[in-house]
Amino acid sequence: MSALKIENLSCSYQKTAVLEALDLTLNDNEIVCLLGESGCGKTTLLRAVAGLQTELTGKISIRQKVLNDEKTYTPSEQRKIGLIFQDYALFPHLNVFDNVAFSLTNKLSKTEKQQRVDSVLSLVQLSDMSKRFPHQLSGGQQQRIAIARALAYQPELMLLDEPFSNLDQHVRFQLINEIRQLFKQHQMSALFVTHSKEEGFAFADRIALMQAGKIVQIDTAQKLYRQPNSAYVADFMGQSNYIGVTVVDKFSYQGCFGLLGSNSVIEHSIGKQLRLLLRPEHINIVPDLNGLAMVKQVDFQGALQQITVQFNQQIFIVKHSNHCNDCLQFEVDDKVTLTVLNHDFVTFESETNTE
Amino acid sequence: MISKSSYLYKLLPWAVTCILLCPIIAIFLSAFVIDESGSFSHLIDTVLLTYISNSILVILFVVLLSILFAMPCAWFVACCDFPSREKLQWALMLPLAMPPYIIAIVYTDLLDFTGPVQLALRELFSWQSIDDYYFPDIRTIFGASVILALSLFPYLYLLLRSAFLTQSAGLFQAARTLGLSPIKAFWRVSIPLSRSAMAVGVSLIAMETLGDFATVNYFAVHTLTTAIYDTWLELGSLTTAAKISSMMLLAIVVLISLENYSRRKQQVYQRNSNGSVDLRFTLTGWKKWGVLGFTWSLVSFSLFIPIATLVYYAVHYFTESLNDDLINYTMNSLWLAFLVAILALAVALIVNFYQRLSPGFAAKSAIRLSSLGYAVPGTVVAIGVLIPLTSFDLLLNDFLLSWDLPPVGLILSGSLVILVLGYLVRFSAIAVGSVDSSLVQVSPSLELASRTLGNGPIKTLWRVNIPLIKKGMLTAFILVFIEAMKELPAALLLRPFNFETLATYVYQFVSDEMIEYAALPALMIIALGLIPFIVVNRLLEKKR
Repeated sequence: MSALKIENLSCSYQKTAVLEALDLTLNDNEIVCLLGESGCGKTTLLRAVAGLQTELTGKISIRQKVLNDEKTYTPSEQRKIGLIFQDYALFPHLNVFDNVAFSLTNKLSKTEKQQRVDSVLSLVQLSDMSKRFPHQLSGGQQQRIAIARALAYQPELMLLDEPFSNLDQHVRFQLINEIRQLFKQHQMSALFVTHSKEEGFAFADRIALMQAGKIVQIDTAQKLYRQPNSAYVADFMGQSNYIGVTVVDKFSYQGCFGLLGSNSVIEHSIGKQLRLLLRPEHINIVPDLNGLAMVKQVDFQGALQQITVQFNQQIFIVKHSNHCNDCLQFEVDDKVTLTVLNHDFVTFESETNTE
Repeated sequence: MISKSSYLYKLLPWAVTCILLCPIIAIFLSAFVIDESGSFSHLIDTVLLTYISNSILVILFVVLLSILFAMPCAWFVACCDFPSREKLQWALMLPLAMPPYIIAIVYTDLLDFTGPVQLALRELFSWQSIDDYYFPDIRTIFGASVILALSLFPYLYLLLRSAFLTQSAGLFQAARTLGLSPIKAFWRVSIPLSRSAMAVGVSLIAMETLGDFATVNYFAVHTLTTAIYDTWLELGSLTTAAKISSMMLLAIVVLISLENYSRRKQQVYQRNSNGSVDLRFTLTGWKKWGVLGFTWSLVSFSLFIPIATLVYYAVHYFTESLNDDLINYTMNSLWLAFLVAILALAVALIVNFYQRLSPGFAAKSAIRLSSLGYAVPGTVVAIGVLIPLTSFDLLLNDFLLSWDLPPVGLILSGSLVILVLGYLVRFSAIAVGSVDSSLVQVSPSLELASRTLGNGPIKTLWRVNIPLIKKGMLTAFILVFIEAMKELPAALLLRPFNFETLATYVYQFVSDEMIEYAALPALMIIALGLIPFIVVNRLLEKKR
């Protein structure tokens, strides 16, 4: 059974389409990240699932219960979802206990309420903070309380709207790990919005990359990085170099790096011109006094050096290890030779090619 | 986020808005009604031009004097450091609680031929009669303007002080590093940046001046406001009074537009503010004494001297002043102000929650329209509520008579209903604004969190919004309470027969020049205004 199913969902604002015929399925116990630039519609999609976006067409169901379609609109308060906000949205007039107990109705006895609050507070490791007020907590603690408050409601689905972006770098990734483990232990399905791919990599099982109201690719982080289905996805997921290549036969391309042998059968016709994606780590760089390439810029990046190289009237970004004392150090104007390392090649239609 | 069936959410705020707007529409329409009595055309032929020119002159003088008083004070308090600065920033606000007609009677008493100032001068220089020396007459347009400016300058002071405080310190620092002295930097950076605050303050003061009745009437300066009062109470011509009111409304519309335009600009100028506290420079020597002399003299003239004079008279005439009338009228004022403040708060909650529940153009319009009354002078509002309510009463009585039923009389226009409605039209805006400004500080995500945690919109308002805006609600209540305690022109025109408030009671003694009897009730008005004023400011400071 799917935790969440979105079918053909569209939404427009002042005649501009924000979401366009969007489909998405979230499996049980799965965390999916909606990733994309500002204004791509990811928050609108989250709000639509939460029932906070009313002008919609399409269908939204949680655990096969239809919440939104042509005839149905279930208000937010009846959807049984836990929504986590970027600004935590803790009620400043209530202490931690009352914040966490906010959704617990009077049908529960005082002891039951206490037990429920205690159990979720211990899950987020803040049992001793129940008397404090939100302003007395750090950002990370506030976000844990917000998660505890949502968990106390026993939601069927968690929605997280940029929940980590207000936190410091070191707190952020520690909290991401903890919450991911927590969700996995409790078999919680979650839809998570962010514009940071690093957060998406760390938190989600699958990433749905959005562009202009559509999901352009949905898959694991590794697949999105290594096998992007478009140059947009490739560029969004990491640094990219492109070279023009021609298909020579079923297993090789010809380009500025010479003949490149493919690990799999090339499905394009022989003679077809394509753009081949080269990540910086797929290019090897060696000093060579007779080399045809020249170093234009070197940037120190801790464990790596990022080297900008001009070769064949084109600029390439290359990464080189920096972690040992005797590692090669490159300098501007050094002559070098670039070679392509063996990997699963990814090609896109050439911009001039309309096959 | 409201379900489509919930028409009540929309109906109630619009009903409230329509009631509050009705008097203003009535005034607007009255401009097109033909005046059959001919008194308006008579007014045009005779004194209307004088009234208009007097109104313009008073406004001009008051504005100029207020700038002269407020701008240096605001700058000294915001940007300089000198002894008693913190006390002064408070003291300079307090004259707002002083009704100008009370300051007027005090200075008339002090500066008259028989007053202590001229007496002392005559004794000092052995002058025998008025022909032996020149002493300026306070009962002139300029005299009235000085009195009004003494009571109104804090509006401008408050706006300019906050403009100076919130201007980006970086800009001032940049000017200093580019070689400008603090004073030059102030003239070339701070003053141009506070132009919009100045425009807002000036338009507020102009509106208050245009609306003043008691002070100008006491000094026998005939303005448009006194003309309305005279035509209605003495000539009995509601149409003429309404026509003059519509002229004033036009002036108010111009001033509001100026204010709104300037407020929008002010927001741009005050972005990225980080306070200029660190940049205060310490005053020493003659500069320090000059600043202390100027600022504390202003506080003395607008606050200490009037209060001391009133205390002197109140003590000397205590037994004559403390009577049943005083107690009854104080109680009248208190419960009237309380009732109006509660109702205004209800109006504020209704229209603001409407906007919160279904944000959009319609809700914004409801807030704007329900707040229109704030700028309209009490006299104009009074005429505005008189028109529809007297028409209603007349129609009702005609209807009853046509069915051979006994007439009920002036059940709305002759009762307290009209007074309460008049006050509400005038003061709801204060409550609406105050509730609005605390509601916008409640992050929308708090409401969304509550909604997704199983609470409907009304429950969310009750459990999340209301607890978070309690201080804003209290502020709204107190501000309306203060205004309702002080309000005079609307009370004079709308009060039912034999009903007095503290303000009308004081004004009666003021117009009879009996300062000795006016003193104690006047001090009551000041105290009942000052104490809540201090409470509100403490609340607002804590909120920051």
